[in-house]
Amino acid sequence: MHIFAQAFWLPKAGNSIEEYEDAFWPELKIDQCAEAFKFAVADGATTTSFSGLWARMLVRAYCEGQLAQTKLSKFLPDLQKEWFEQIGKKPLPWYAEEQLRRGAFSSLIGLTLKEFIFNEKQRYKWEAMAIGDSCLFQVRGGRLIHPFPLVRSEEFNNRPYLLSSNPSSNNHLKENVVRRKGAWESGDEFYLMTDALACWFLKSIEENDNPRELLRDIVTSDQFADLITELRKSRVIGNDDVTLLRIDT
Amino acid sequence: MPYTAEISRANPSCFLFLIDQSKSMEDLVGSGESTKKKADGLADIMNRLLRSLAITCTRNEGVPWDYFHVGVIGYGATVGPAFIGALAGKELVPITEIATMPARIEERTKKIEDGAGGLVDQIIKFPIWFDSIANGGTPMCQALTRAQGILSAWLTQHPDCFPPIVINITDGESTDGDPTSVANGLKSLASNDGNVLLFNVHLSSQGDKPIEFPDNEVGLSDPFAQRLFRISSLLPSYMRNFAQQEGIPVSDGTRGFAFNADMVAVIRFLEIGTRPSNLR
Repeated sequence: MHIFAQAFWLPKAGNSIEEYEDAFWPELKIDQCAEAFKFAVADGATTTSFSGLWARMLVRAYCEGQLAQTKLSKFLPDLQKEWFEQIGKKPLPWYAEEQLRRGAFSSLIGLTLKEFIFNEKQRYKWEAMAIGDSCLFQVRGGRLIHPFPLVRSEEFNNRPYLLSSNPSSNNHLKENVVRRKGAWESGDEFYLMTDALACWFLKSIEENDNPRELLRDIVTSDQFADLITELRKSRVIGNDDVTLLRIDT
Repeated sequence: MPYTAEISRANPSCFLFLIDQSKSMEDLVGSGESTKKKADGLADIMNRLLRSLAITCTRNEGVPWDYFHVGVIGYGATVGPAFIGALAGKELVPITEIATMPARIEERTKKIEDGAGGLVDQIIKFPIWFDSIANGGTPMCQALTRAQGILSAWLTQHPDCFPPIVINITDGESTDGDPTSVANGLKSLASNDGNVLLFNVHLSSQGDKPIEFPDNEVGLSDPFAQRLFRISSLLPSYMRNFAQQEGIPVSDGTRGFAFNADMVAVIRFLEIGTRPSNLR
């Protein structure tokens, strides 16, 4: 199968590029053939520190296959340890030490696309996992056919359950990891988004608009920045870090 | 819609605490082993509130961002700024200065979950910005008037800010008159995003159980508590939503009032970013 994928991102208005705490993987544009692809987007929580690093570690781990259902409990402690070691080496002031103790938090949406032969025919399937409010949208013929894991804009709030680098905050992780499988056809589009954009996307559809038209033809990061700035100005999207990973099959 | 302004470094908001340092704060509160002077209880509450606010404003790479400017006015034998240590004498300071300049840092032990169903002791750093003071009368009207002056100036400089929040912590017995009309004057100040919010914390010598964010006076047996409840601002709807998400029952009549409780929850109601539901 041939896949084309490209990511677009923008920090919260008023924040610098270094303060952007979403993450996505792969980092470079994809235009190639393979039997399977993995993609991920994550959103580090702003009220905790060092969450951008945690989000970057999670998207990479998903795409390297470490967060599959059977492997989560095996790899998560290693990731948590790695996060702690990267930050906890140097002495920190009391407030940063407290943030370190609380741990970093991040959402994660991961998507795997695969092809296989069944009854001598080429078939395609997707598998996704989600924690928190970053979303996947499958679009066919210009229409949204599968939103995941959130399906309505009213489901977004400022208190999502997120994956933590602190093991004691992941007590209910099993109930909060959502996995889904589906089929796709050549020509389908997949969009991975962090919460602000995903909420706008769903709300626009609920209001019978077609947000996909606005995302469809974006080629450059400037075009993406212009769109987001416009949406922020008209207050239809919250001021937050924004990430879009668009995948064309 | 009021109370929707974004709190950011470019558009910070303001917290002003008024703390009762009168002689009556020497009275005891609580029962049994937990008995302590009201003044000590108040110092604990203030240090916890500032600790929580500084941590809440700590971002990205462990650096505090100036989402708030903070002032603490003490009222007792005198009325004026109440910080001790390097911040002594300062009226309003950015949260960065609060975080980086406590008078001293103590260590306390806290029980935390170990992730395997058990509890372990953890030592946490507990910065101190206040020691307890109990001296003189309770000039609450003077304190509220001083707050009005400070916030009038703040609002002139920050007309579009999320409205300042005033938290008054007292045993309720004002000695310079009924504070109602001064409190109303303070609450009539406004930014373009809404009126100043006045919340009250009442520390009572009566051993009644703590009450947070009530929507009526039933259960407040103390007449001073009842009066403080009446002059407390109604919780804006977005704060009511956060309170509800934390399991606190609320209604349209819920006020920013706490009785023998610390009100640290109010820091969690501030909308300055995603707060994970599983963050303790």
